[in-house]
Amino acid sequence: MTTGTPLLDARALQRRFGGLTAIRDVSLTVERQETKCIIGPNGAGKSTFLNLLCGTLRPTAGQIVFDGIDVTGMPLHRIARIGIARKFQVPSVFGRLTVRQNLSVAEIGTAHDGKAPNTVAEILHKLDLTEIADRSAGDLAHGQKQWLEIGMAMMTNPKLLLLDEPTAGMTVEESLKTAELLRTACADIAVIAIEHDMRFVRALDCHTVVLHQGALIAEGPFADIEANPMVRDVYLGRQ
Amino acid sequence: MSAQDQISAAARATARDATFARPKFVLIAAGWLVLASLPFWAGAYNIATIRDVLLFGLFALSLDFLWGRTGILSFGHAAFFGLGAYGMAIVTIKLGLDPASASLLGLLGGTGLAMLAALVVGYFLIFSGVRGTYLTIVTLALTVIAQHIAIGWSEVTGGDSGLIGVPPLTFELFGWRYALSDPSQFYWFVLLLASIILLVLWRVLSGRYGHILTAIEDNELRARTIGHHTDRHLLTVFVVSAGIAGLAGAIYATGTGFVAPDMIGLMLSTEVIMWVAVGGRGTLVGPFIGAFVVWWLQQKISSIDTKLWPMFIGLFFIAMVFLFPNGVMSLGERGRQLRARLWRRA
Repeated sequence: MTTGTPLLDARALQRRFGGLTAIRDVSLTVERQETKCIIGPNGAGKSTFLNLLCGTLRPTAGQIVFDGIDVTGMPLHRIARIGIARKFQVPSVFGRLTVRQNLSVAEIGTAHDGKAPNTVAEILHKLDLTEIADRSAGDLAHGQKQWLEIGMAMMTNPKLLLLDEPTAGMTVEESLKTAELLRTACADIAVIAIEHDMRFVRALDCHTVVLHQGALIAEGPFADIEANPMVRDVYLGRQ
Repeated sequence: MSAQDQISAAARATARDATFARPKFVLIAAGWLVLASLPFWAGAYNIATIRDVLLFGLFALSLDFLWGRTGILSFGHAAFFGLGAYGMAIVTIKLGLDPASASLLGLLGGTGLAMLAALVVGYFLIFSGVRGTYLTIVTLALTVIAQHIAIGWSEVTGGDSGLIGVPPLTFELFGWRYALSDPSQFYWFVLLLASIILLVLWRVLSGRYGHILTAIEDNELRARTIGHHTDRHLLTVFVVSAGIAGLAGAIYATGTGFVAPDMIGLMLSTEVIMWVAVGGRGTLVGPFIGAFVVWWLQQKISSIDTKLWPMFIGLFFIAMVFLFPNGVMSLGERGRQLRARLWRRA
């Protein structure tokens, strides 16, 4: 076992799009079962950074080590299989399948660290989806789609769950419910969430990283970040 | 209409769908029994014709497996049907083997040739991320190239006139040789084979594998991020589909006794798309019905005037796409929908 070393170790990641450097020299580590939030203004490079971590984009420079394995440039389906799951910003459930079938399709069946793999029934229960299990996913309300997607990510038995704005377009109650679901359903795995909604980040109350113009400018507990004058300046706005 | 009424109407609609699913199944079973009893009451000519329609239906099923379940439209599926037919003809006519081994080798060779072509073309396209319309256009080129080869390479393929003299399917088991030269027996063999392939595909696709393919068609990137090797799934379906098309082609050639360039060309590629579209994409049984309906219409209309057929089929196709986009399999539901729409307007 690789206890002692972090679960995810992203070293000096850089990503350029033509002349634009979207991510410059960002390093981030995540421990097992740790939750981290990434915040930052629009265009700060948050989504790009998440795309690098889950393999949708390749870094121009830098290295990503996950659980002792170098995953830089690994194909998407293999990254998924070694335990990195991702929830997209726009809900992307399979609309022609039912909720239950969506979860079943995402069932990979290989659990890590000697744990029993998640079953469809368990995830339905944990994410409060049992009542709508046989509805077509295309007909769900926005919030339900988001929760189903978190459920699909959980079905792959991840060690690390990447969430891209999990509460985008949600009502206040739905956002708070999402924070609650994450705390209960994803308690035993590491989570990285990108978020705009400060209420949600406050509700999660976790280690927070601030990106600005592609660079990491501050990190620490959310309370410290909220009080940091530089962060207030670039992001929260001077009041 | 109050909200309460709407809910109970929806409940009634689902109940109705459930009860209508049964008659559909009974109808299919009845249709199969009629087909199975055909040799007892139909003449030899009709038996041979329906046998060919069944083989075209099997060919259409192969396209439906690909197009209906992964969304990839092959505009050159006749290339695989033709490779099967030409493979069979070349092995049985040119190699000078004894009939039983020639038949077996022809079946394997024809089907294998179609699968190999699909594997090579599919690998380079699918694994390099070519999808949608671009993939369709390449398959279109494939059938055109195949037809050119069939016409141009006349020492092997017989050129424009094709190859004549493909013997009937012959099997040899433990020294006991059996040639399917009797029309009824050959017909039953084709019916049985088509039914088995249909059942196997239906069984496989109604389970989790079918859901995975639907998921890939819905959102391939998402399917990949939950750990599915989507390229490999799509290539597998493409190759199996080509194999079924090739098998249908190889058997078809033993029935007609000859092969010609129109079995590998663009016209047949277009026709098979129509059979699937008419029967209902993604329905698996539909392609057989589609092949039958189009063949029957062709008989009726060409008997009035042969010039009418191409004109009719064009208009018919357009009308089908507008009125019954899900094919004849959905006639019942679609009829209710259209009636409800008229009702509301009145």
